[in-house]
Amino acid sequence: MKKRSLASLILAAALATTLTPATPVLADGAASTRNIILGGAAAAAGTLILINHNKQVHAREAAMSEQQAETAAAAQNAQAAYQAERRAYLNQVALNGEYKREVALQHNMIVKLRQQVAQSQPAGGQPARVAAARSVSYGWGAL
Amino acid sequence: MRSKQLAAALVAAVALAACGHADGPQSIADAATKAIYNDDVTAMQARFNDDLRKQVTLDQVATISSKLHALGPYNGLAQTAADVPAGRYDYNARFAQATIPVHLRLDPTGKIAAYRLDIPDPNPSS
Repeated sequence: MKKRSLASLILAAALATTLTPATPVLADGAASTRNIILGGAAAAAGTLILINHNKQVHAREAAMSEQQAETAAAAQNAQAAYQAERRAYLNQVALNGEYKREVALQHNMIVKLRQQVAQSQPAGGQPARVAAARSVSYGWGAL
Repeated sequence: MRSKQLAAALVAAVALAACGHADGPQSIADAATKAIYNDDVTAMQARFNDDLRKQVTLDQVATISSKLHALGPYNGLAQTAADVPAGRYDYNARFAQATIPVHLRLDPTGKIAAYRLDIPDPNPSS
């Protein structure tokens, strides 16, 4: 900002030098030539300063843009990684639900099989051991 | 008046006597258990329906009878459960040395369709 002000001042001075009409017109040709040379030099110096300033500004803006691009890329990568992790988590949750349903189904099958075993009774006069009571069932027919 | 009361008493006595002779599930179970205990196949089969009667053999009855005798004298039954619509009745048969469960299923005609006793196993490991 400071450099820009300085460049403006120099430019204004150069313009003032070249464009000031209030200078009394002298008949001296050497002085006129000197004035022309001085004004051209001032204008060239101001132009150089402006160009240098603009180069610095563009370089700084490019660096900022590059940094912003890098930041944006990193953010996009993080977002993509988050989305991937979330998808994996949701898949795992769904898989766990399937496991739960499978376990419940197997549990029901085990309960039914146990009931069937408990209800089974040997027919006829063949003795059948009843382990829980440590006794043997004798008799005929199915209860 | 006195003769009417006497007649009513007689009628009531006859009715009660008739009720006593009716074979309820417990009396059927008691009779079958006594028959097996006494190794009386004929008396036992008289309580069984036709299908069950065909399954009974003399050896089986003799085996069960000997096991029951090992428990001491028979002292009767006590009901523990009943499912009348299904014809299912459970009893405890009391013997001098043990009380064992007896399970009974009657068919719609009142005959025994299934009869089982849970006799303690003297050799549970075998």
